[in-house]
Parts: sequence; C-alpha cells; structure tokens
Amino acid sequence: MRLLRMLLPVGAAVFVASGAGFAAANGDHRAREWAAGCLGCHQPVGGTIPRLHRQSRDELVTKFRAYRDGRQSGTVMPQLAKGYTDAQIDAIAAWFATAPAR
Amino acid sequence: MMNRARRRIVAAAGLLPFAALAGCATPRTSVARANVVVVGGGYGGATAARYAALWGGDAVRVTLVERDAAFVSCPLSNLVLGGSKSLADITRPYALLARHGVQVVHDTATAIDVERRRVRLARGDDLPYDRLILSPGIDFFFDRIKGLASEEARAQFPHAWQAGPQTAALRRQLEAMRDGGVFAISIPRSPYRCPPGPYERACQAAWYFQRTKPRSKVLVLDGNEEVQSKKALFMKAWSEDYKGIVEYRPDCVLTEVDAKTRTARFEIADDVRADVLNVIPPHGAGAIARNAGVITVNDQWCEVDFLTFESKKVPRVHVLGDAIQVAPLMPKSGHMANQHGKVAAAAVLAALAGQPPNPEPVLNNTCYSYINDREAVHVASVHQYDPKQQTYLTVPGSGGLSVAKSAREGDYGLAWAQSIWADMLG
Repeated sequence: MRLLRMLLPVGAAVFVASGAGFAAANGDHRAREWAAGCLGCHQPVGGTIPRLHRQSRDELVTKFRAYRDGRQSGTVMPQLAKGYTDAQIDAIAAWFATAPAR
Repeated sequence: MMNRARRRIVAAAGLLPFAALAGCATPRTSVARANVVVVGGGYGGATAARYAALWGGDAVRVTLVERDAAFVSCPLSNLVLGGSKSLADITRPYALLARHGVQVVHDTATAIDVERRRVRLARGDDLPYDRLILSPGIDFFFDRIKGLASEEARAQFPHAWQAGPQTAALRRQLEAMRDGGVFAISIPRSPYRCPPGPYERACQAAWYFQRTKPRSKVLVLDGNEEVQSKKALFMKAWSEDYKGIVEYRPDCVLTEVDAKTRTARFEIADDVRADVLNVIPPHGAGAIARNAGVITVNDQWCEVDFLTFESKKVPRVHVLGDAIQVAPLMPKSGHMANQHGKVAAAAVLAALAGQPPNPEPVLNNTCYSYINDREAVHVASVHQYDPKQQTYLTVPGSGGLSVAKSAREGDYGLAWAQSIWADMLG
C-alpha cells in the first residue's frame, strides 16, 4: 500500500498528460480531495453524524442517490446530494470504501 | 526516513529539484523537503496544514504559525453569549497537530518577504517557504466609525467577532445589564464574516433575557437592507419565540459611537441609545495579508485563483477563508474555510511536484444557527468549479434551508463542531 501511494504522484502525472484517465482507481487525487470535502462532518469514528468510512461502495452510492433523488428524507443531505455529479458520487464512494482511517 | 526508491520517485515527480532550489536547510540523512508554511490556525489554516502534512508525507515540512495558545471557535460562540455554553466548550488545543506531522510555532507573523520567500516572526527566526498559505482571518476598520478608535471605546463596544476574550467581555456586559435594558447589535455592510452570525446572536441574547431579565430588548441594527441569511427562519423566531424582545431595523449604517451617552449614530437612521452596544465594525482580510501585498479588492479582500487559492497578485502565496474575495453566493464561514484549506493543500502539493491542480474542485457549506440553547436551523450549499468563468457556482436545485428549527438539527450542529474540530486539529 505504501509503495502504491509513493507511485501515485508519478502515475497521476502520466494520467493528466493523457487526459481522461486521471480518475483511474490507482492514481485518483480527485477522489481523495472530493472525499475530504465530506470529512468536515463525517469523521471516521461516526456518531450523531454517521461515518462513511468502511461502508461498501455500492451502499454509499445507493444512499447518496436516494438523498439526491428524493427517496430518502433528511435535513442537510438531500440538499447537498443534489450538488454532486454521478462521477463525483462514484469516486467518493469508492474512496471511502477503501479509505485509511488516518 | 526516505528509502532509495522513494527518493527516485520524488525526484521524478519534480519535488527534488524544487526543494534544492529553495535553499532550505538539508537534513544530513535525507533529501531536502519542500517548506510549506501556513500562517493562521483557524478553520482554514489548521485544515490546510493538516492536509498538506497528511497528503505530502515525507516530501514536505509543514509549519503552522499561530499566535494563540489554543483554538477558540467562532461558530458556537454566540451560545457562550447566551450562557448555554462556556468558552471551554468551544476551545481546543493545537497539540494534536504535531502527531499529524505539523510543526506548530506559537508566534506572530509580522511580515512576509515575498521576494526572498520568508515569513518574519515576532519572537523567533524567519521561516523560509517554498509555498505560503495565508489564512489571516479578519482585521477591523475601527477608524471608519467615529469615536471607536480609542482603546476605551473599543473596550466599551466589543465586537466579539473573533472568539475568545472579546466573547467573554460581551458576555460580562450582558450579565451586568439591568432588566429592562437595551442590547443593540450593529451589523456592517455585506460581505462580512459569518452572514447569519449577528441574527443568531440576537436570538441567543433574547433567549438569555427571556429567562433572566424579561423586560429587556434586543435591537438588531443592520447595515444592509434586509436580513442577509436564513431570513424567514430568523424573522419567524423574532416574531414568535421572541415577540416583543427582538426588534429588527434595516438600513442602519453605523457612522459614529458616543461612549459617554452609549449612543450609536447612522448615515440615515435615527440615533440609538443602548445599555450594551455590540459594534461589529466593517472588516477585511487580516493585517498580514496587507503586508504580503495580496489584498486586491476595495483595500479589503484578496482575489485568488479558485483552482489553487494562489493569490492573483503574488506567486507562491495562497490565501484562504474569510480573507478572500468570494465566489458568487459563497459564504464567509468556518466550514467554507475548511473546504478552501483542503483544495489549497492539494494544489500546493501538486505545484511543488510540478503537476497541475485538480481541475474539478467542489466545495460544500453547511452552517447551523441556534435559535435557542438546543434548537437550530441550517443553510447548505454546493459550489462546483466552473472552468469557463473560472469561479465556483452553486448547483441549480441544490442547497437550501431548514423547514423549521429543530432539536435534531441542534444535535447535528454540535456534532458538526466536534467533527470539524477533529478534522482540522486531530
């Protein structure tokens, strides 16, 4: 894992150069940054505000889309979910599914 | 620390030549790290420092310069004024940041040499930087209000718009006020730090008066033509929960205060005499931003490239939080500063590695205001980067407000605070 992370900057540079491949699973700094945007509220320990860490990718995508599409009620999340693209939702969910706890 | 394979990789990514150019002290056993210096340990700066260290790993040395010994949160500080929270409840140490690879220097940055790329400290040595992140918060234009320049006047009319001793001072004045007294809050013209904050403050004071000195009044003297945030929710609270206690007056642009008679004077509106007068003066980016030469708008705010938060004026200096010239509908909030901090940290690391920044940053904002000691309302928004306009735009149909105040959202607000403090401080 550590070796993989070391390789990421180089890999990311190559992907940027080649355009669309940036979001590939192995070098995705965008996913890391987008996911970081959730951590202000959703800390790894969970509690009153549920954790996103260690939930499956499918489960997170399903929940997020349910908020976005009005099938799941809530306070803040139905409003925030409408602001994210499908690509962002997928990348964020994938990141949390395998995220280190820090 | 750094093995041979890693050195090769860092070099390939462009960090090594960069760090060598910077001329920073080279540890004997390792390659030179790039120096990232963050000035200001609030919601923006502490977050940027932590994430720069987390994501930068061995490639960077992250130093946070912070004047105060502990972090005191502006969000929730109105509850200290209302008496349902203490200053200790909203105070957190900086000590945990060291565990996350951030060196915290408790000192005041007095000057920035943008040519030699050094931060001058009041007590210690200069700090060299490869990239500087300024999260300077705000400083006040006291001289724009006649009668407010002297130390005595400022002590008599606390702003409490930076949490800490100012919060305690205003709380003491509210406690000492007679029953039947008038507490007036003067709000500057937008944009100002924390758009809903003054209105939440009115609710908290009213909640306190209702229970302890019920004949007292809260007068909201707004320098704007209407309530700037969560308008319907606050108006409802004032007309129902705090009927007869809170009075709202728009278009009250403060021009003068008279310490002897405790009188506020305005551009047009009638004079107001108050027992306790809370003046939130007009303000702009903190003084160190002025010294660095990054203030570019109205002598007040700092324009930045929204992909990187790098100053539009001074290269290698990034600016965060309330100090920036905001994008449309972007609030000057602690939550937003935390979001800025992450985008800036990632962009700084990318720049040091010779890589482009994330081309699609997205920011969110969630802000709770307390109507009383336990019920809150929120406003939320999502801000996607628009490459054509090179700014952040809110997504149509996203974001919004609470339907009504609730204890559930009061619980979420407290949980939000615990989360974001852990996110920024460890």
